[in-house]
Amino acid sequence: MKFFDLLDMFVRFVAGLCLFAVFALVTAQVASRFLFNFSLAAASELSIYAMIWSVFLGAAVAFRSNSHIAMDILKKNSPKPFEGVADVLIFISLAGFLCLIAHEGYDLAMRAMRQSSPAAKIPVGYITMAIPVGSILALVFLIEQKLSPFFKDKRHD
Amino acid sequence: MTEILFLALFSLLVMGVPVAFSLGIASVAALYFGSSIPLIIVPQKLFNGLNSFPFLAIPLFLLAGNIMAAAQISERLVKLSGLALGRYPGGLAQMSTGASAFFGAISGSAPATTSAIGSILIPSMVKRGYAPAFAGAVVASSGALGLIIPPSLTMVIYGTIADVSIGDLFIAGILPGIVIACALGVVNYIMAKRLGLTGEPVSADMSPRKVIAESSLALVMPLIILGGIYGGIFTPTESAAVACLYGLIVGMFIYRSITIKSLGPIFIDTAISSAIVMYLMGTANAFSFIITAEQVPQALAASILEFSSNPTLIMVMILVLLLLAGTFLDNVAALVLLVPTLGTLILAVGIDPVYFGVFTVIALAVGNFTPPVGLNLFIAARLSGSRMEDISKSALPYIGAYLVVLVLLILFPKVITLFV
Repeated sequence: MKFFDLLDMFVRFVAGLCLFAVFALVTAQVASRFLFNFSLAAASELSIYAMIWSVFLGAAVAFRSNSHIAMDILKKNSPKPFEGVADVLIFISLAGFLCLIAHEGYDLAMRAMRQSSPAAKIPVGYITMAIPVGSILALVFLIEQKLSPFFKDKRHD
Repeated sequence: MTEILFLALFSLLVMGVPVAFSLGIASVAALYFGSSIPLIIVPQKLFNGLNSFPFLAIPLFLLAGNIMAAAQISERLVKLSGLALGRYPGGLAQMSTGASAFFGAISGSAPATTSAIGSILIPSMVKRGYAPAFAGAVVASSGALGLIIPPSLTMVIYGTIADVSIGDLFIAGILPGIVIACALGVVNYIMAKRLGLTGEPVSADMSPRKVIAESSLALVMPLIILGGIYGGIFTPTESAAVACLYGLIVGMFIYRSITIKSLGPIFIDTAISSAIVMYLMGTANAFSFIITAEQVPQALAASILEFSSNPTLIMVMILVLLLLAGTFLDNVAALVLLVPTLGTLILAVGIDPVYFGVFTVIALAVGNFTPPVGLNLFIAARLSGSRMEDISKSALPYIGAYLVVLVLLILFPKVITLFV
């Protein structure tokens, strides 16, 4: 599972870096307003874009640690076979949703490539692309997380 | 379309699908089976929901909280509250409440406050002979002050969903926050008398001047955030970034508890925990697009108004609903599910949305230390080594304190918006 660990580390790193960019850009914007009495419109726009990438990448790795917020007390307190069925259904609905969002998100990003952002003048498609990229990564981590128990069992045998 | 939406949402939630995805999948199902709107609208709403500057306050306030925790500001605040409250009966319990209130004024999250204060004071309480379950209950209930006393992440989320000024919510949250801290202090006093817990001896290394000097840097923080927003110098988002910068400077150069190496985990952990919250808000945007288009909030509000339009009675019903929702749902999930509908209802009967926001945040805060999903309880159980059931039994008098304050807020609604 070395490949997934590396991918996980990389995605985490980029998500963290994007958050750092959010912090740096907002701070720069405040500083420029105070020091030079000049508002950096591009900085606030870019900070939002950095956050959007950070959100879709972060939401993807959250699948690996199973840390998305769920109301799972009912599932946990139900009989074993029921819990198993629920797990399969959850997996199917999550995977289906992620595939759909990746596909529709890709279409959206392609359309947005022609449109450039008001202040920084970069194609909005570069930002919207976070949706398909994040969804595919989420799908990869979701599948790995579901299948990893089987791999571990084999190694122990 | 509405029937499909709610049926799908309910079954997905009960099955245990993460809330963010339950909202997204239910929206897809409703659009696909109940309308001819192309599904590209779902990623579009997801994107638009996040494409806003005020939203940046969420990751930045989370970041500020994590920086404060890494800077070990909590230890200074515990010493400060020891100086002020340690000598009274149940001194350590009073210190937990006091330090949580201080920490709440620099952090916006209840679990962060619980673990920052609890990891220091629960071991001390157990050592001094407090029952572990009682120690856990004190810290879990006081930790909820973290999201009531501004800055508050829950208020930021409410403000962005309900389109209410976050600055106004923060200012309005100060007084109720202090009142709840005092109410918890009264319960601490009564419990200490009943359990025979004494005050703490004043130790030699606690010279008042030194303790105040050490914690003063931490106490400047709320002044920057609240003063900056109230004075119109910063937007809430900007004040959060300034708070991060201040925390980094204090942590790296003055307290020297944050190193360059520890910066990586702080940013990465915050990125992931804020991504979880923000993704939820994104799919909630797709969901609320459908319910608004179908005028669900208006229909629900109208049917409740048919039953009664007395604001007090409506607030009582909402209180029961919020307490129930807070018990079974995470705060963010409860907000995205309920606020769009309740917001329409309260506006229809003339209840102030700022008042309502503060009220909602306090009512949901109780869910943080009630079973089965109270995050503060989990943390307090882990720190005190006692069972969640036992802690929640000991927390009953503290729940009572919150309920008294909530009822007072229903009876005297004007108090909250006095300073806004």
